Amino acid sequence: MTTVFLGIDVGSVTTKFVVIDDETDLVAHLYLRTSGKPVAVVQAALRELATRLPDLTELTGVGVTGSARQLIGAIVGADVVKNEITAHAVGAAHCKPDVQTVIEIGGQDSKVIILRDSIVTDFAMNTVCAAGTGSFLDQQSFRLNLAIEDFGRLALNSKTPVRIAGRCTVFAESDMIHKQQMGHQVEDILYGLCQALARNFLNNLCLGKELCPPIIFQGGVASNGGMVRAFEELLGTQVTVPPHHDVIGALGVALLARERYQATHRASAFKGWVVSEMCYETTSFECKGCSNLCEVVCVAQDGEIIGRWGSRCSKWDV
Amino acid sequence: MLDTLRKLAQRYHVPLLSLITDEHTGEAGLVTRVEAFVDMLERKAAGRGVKIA
Repeated sequence: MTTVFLGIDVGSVTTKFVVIDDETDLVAHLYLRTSGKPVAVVQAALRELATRLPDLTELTGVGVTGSARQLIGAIVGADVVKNEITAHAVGAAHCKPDVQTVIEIGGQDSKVIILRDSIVTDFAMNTVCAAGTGSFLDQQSFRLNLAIEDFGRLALNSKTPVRIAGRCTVFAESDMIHKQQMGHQVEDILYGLCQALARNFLNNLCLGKELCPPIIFQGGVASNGGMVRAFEELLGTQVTVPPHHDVIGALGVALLARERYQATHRASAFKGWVVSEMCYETTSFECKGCSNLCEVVCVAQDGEIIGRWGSRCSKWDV
Repeated sequence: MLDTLRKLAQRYHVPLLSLITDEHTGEAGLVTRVEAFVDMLERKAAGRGVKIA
């Protein structure tokens, strides 16, 4: 019997799955679009993973991270529910133990994590605006009628990038449209956008932080070669994109599930692969108990309530 | 103010978390940051063999 650990990273745009064995080797991984339906995508992925894993594999631990971690954690029966920052730091330190700086750009957020001796010493996450994250790049490539997969390749062909303001997506877009109407080449506009986003990231998020090499760049946006080059030019040093850079958060939380099992040897709370066949329903209501008017969410599995959250007090919590 | 705090934190090696909020109704970003900060302290302490209850 081989024991394996599952890590799920339910992000705003994509959902990532990683299965590792007892030796932390990668057994399987999946990268799917969330498409606004986190529960359905997790169910589909579990169905797929169940067929991919060899017989006699026992799932000994499940970890969940990402913005829908609470919802998915309740549904699959997670042993570890962790925030994305810790998950990404653990994953990155596993891929490259001497890493000192992690740049992570996902669909809706971007973060920088500073590590020393594999331990997080400082971090920052985009606060007021999502300028420069994956969904903006997605939107722009859609507007230009390009597949997001071709974005990086085209941007790398740029010889004379244009200057675009990256502080705000609304202004960045109008800058891009202006340059396009002036007759600039698409690749120059694309690479100009990469430079603007990288500049924005370094000027805001990394303010007051010492970015020492080795530097790792991960998250979906690291697939974009233009972004990698823009960071390398601005930082004046090599930026490494690790293998499986798009599933590092899921890997990190799988490692945390393994860590929990090794420390406690307690059986997993995983509800089994049948999760993919069950019926889940979420309902919500506004609590009128006080002036906070909290929006309370209720999750039911085959009609039975398995989780309820969203209230500031613990009145409704299950 | 924040700059001074940052400098002091750096000089005395005190972990510092600054939280900036805006008009978002969601508190997910805040929760994530606070959780990560607590994790950071715990893992740091564990790395030195100290246990935080």
